[in-house]
Amino acid sequence: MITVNSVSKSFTTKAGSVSALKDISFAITPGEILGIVGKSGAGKTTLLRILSLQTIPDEGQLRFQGREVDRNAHPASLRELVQHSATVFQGFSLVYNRTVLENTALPLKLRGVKRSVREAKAMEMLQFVGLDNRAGAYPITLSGGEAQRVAIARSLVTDPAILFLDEPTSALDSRTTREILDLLKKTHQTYSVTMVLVAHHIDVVRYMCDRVLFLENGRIAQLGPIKKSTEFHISKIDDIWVDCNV
Amino acid sequence: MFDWLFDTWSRFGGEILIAFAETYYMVAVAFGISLVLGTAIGMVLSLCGRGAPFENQAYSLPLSVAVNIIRSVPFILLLIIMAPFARLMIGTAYGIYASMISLSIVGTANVSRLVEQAIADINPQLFQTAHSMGAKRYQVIWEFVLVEAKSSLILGFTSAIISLIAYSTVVGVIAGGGIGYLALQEGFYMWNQPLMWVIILLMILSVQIIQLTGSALARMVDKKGKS
Repeated sequence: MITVNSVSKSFTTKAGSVSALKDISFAITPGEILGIVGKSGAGKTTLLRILSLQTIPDEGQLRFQGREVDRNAHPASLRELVQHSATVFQGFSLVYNRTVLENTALPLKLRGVKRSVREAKAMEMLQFVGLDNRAGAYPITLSGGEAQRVAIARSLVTDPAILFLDEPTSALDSRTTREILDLLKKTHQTYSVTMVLVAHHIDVVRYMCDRVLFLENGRIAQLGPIKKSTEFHISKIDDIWVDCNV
Repeated sequence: MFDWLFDTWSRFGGEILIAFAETYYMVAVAFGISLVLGTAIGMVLSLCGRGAPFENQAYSLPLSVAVNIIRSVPFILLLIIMAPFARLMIGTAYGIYASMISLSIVGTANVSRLVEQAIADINPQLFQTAHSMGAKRYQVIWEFVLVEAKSSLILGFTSAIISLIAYSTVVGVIAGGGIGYLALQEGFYMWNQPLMWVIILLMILSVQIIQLTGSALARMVDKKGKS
């Protein structure tokens, strides 16, 4: 599905060149949920940006859906490849001056799909995420969890082969995190979409992922299957006190 | 108490109406040109600047310098230095049409900075989102930037129209016509204070109407704070 071979990426800052990723090689297989974890600055976001074709690596080979992607790739062919995937961002990234239905249908509008067709498909996706009753609402009226559900519906509206999830639960409380993770599991089961999940919390990847890629200082420290957890623990306020008999 | 006001209106009412019509004609044409050119330049300044989604400083830097130069020149001096250019373009350096050239230039510079500011306020992650959907450049502008910035743009355009009205009064210096010319000729050189006050009151009223309309329109299209 996606193969990276000896990929490196550097950024130029005022302090000079900073190496974000070094000699990264691995492959993503269809249908899996791959987690990418690591400390802040380990290169998780840069790797996700490379995988989702938002940035091109300086060195190494990147194959996306069997096609080689490099600096010489034509913008139109890159756009065509990008449309095989969808990304869900941490900050929901909805267009606030569009309704929930318009937001969900937007990727189809960009592809020139007829209004009636795209709205029907968007409604289907909103039903899937349980927000069809909010189709006419504007995003400002949604809670964080609802906004992320809309973002998930929007990402699914084009039937992507691969879904990139950039810390999709970081801005949410633990109960909503659980709901979003369960929705993503349901998405995976229903649509068999391949997922790449960048996460900060190890509990999230244990609950979601089949394999985990652990990044350290821009290099792969470990990559492999993990001991999955079937439970996502939510601490209650009563659980946190040392002594509650005061 | 308001006898002076009615007396002035009965003597100069016709001239005041014609002068206002000239002012709004000049402002409308200048704003129309500024809207098109200023919006395009503002887009380049914000979307092609350093670190921007379509970074290309070969376009943004010269335009930024040009806009700064125009904005640094006091408008009255701009009118004077543009006189030969106006003569070359339309055969005269005086009158309404010569004034429109300078007004369009200063209006374009103003609008471009206001558009740049309006776009700068957009959530930068929206550009990543547009990219992740495979949006073409014109779609990024049309479906994301203009949709999210429309309220700020309307407020910016309102501000630009009001600035142009203020600038248009200065063109009286080059016999540019309009309300500024009438105020200068009759109000200042003939020292007609009541006429000056009538003009000022009408200017206040018209600017209030424009601002209220612009603000109402901006609120109407802004869904960031509405259900």
